[in-house]
Amino acid sequence: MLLGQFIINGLLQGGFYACLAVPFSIVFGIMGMINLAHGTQVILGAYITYAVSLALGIDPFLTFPISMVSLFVLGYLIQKYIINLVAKGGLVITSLLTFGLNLIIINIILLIWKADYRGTNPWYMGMSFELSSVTIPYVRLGIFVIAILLTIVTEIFLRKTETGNAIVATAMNPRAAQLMGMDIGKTYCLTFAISSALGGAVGSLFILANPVSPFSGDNFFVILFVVAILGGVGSIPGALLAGLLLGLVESLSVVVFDIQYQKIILSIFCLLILIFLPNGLMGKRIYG
Amino acid sequence: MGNLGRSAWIIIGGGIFFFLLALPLTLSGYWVRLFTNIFLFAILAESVNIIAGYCGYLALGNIMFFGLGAYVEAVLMTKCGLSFFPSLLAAGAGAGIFAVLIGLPILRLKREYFLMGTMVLLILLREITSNISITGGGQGISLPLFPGNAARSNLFFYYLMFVLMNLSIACTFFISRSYLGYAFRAIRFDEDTASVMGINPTPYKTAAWALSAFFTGLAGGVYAYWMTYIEPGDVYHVAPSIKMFLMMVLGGGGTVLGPVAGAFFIEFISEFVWGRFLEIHFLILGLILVLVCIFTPKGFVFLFQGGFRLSKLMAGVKENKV
Repeated sequence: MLLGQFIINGLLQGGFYACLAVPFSIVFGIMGMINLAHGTQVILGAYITYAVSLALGIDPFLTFPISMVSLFVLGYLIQKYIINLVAKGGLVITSLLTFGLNLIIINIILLIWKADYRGTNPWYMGMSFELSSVTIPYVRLGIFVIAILLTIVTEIFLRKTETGNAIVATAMNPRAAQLMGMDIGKTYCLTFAISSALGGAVGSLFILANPVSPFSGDNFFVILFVVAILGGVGSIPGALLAGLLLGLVESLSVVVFDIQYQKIILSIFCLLILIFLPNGLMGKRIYG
Repeated sequence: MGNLGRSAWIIIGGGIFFFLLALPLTLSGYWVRLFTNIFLFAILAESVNIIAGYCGYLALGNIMFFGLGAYVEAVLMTKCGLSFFPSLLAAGAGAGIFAVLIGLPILRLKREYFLMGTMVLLILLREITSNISITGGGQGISLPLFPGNAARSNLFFYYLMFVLMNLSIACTFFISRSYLGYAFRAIRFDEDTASVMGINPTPYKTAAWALSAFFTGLAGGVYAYWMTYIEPGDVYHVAPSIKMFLMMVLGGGGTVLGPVAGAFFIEFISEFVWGRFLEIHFLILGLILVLVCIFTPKGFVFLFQGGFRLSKLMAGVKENKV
């Protein structure tokens, strides 16, 4: 069953795409900012996993909490001392600023790890099991499970905890939230820190299956845009659905077209969604 | 800058014009090429100014027209045997027509979505160019060499870029003084209000993007013939696109000469300050981006208008701070 294999591959990749785009979508929804540095933050998380697993000899699968914590701190500081200074400056300023941060992070990665492709190679790499003639690699399944779990935990955090509610309230109406005595700047810091931490975790997962270079982050733009828009900006369940759908589209496009046209198909898919479904599958912006 | 009279500005502007006109007579090839590059970025910054500075539509992927122009030029010259100037016209016109066709659906999008749409289009064009055979694919394409020695070629491209830069400045000047410019600014200020006041935004936005694409495409065509070799990853690169936005913001978006001044400033310090540190090239460009966004979000023009004070830097920070 070749088709079944393509569908499973697409879904496994789609879960990863959902988790990749959820933090981007949250920042877009809550702060109205397009974080052009997000892809490179993900790659930074990947390099942290690479360095930690190489230096301490621990399994790369177990390093994602370390990337999360370090990127949480980094994200908090970046938002507090840099982005908050321009947060009201409008789209052109925030996009330029995040692209500047993107370049700075790329250059720091280049200085530390050079431009070569780096990857992890755990002993279970390439091992898989069969499920009624469909092959499922353990690494991909692990990435999928962790990605979905992280996405669900984020949704629960935003909906059920007081801090999460504060973030959502700020997204819905910053002025009213301020009048209720909330510190907008601090909420933004937390939001960006959470987004960075999730990005770091995704990067740790990404390097398990794909080698990365300092410039790999730029390849994520189309995926981030598609999932954020198709799922509805700021909506986590929507992003999950959109991520799985994108994974399927990408995987099934190979059935019809040659694999070298995959990026073209994805870009056209993204443009069509921008033109015909700018409000996403749900038909409205969830908040922001 | 209001304390200088109008005639004083005409004299200063004319002085700079004739200075640049006479410059290659005394300078070495290195300087001539450096100035040609600065003119190139001035054209790019000025054309992005038309759509983003005047109209308020943040076409972050505007460099796609540069790549498109470069490839139209290259394909027409190598595959169809056309000479340079007809191909150049086709490069500009092709980019403009493409902007109209793609602008009709894309310009309907709101700002963040338009920004994303242009970035996706940039990636799409790069991938298509890398995957079809007529453009030479990912290997790139070589153009015929300029007939004549290096000194003549340097002069040719210097004056060609100079003329194009002045054309783009003149075009922006006439836009800023015409009904078109008022319509553009009304759209930037508030599109809904503009349409209530009887300005149908669609043709104006499309015209602005087509003009912007026309000049960017011309610059791309000249660049291709100048470099004699182009590849998709080189001409469809997002970093120069960001750089021309930086130049526009630094000089002041929505002003006639601001982006040109920004291009001269950024390219000069790029050549003499951080061009020497190849290892941390990106780092310094990133730092400049961050500092400009924090301290001069409205551009140098506003900083120096009515006298420069240090407190103005901090006022800008306070205004945008959460």
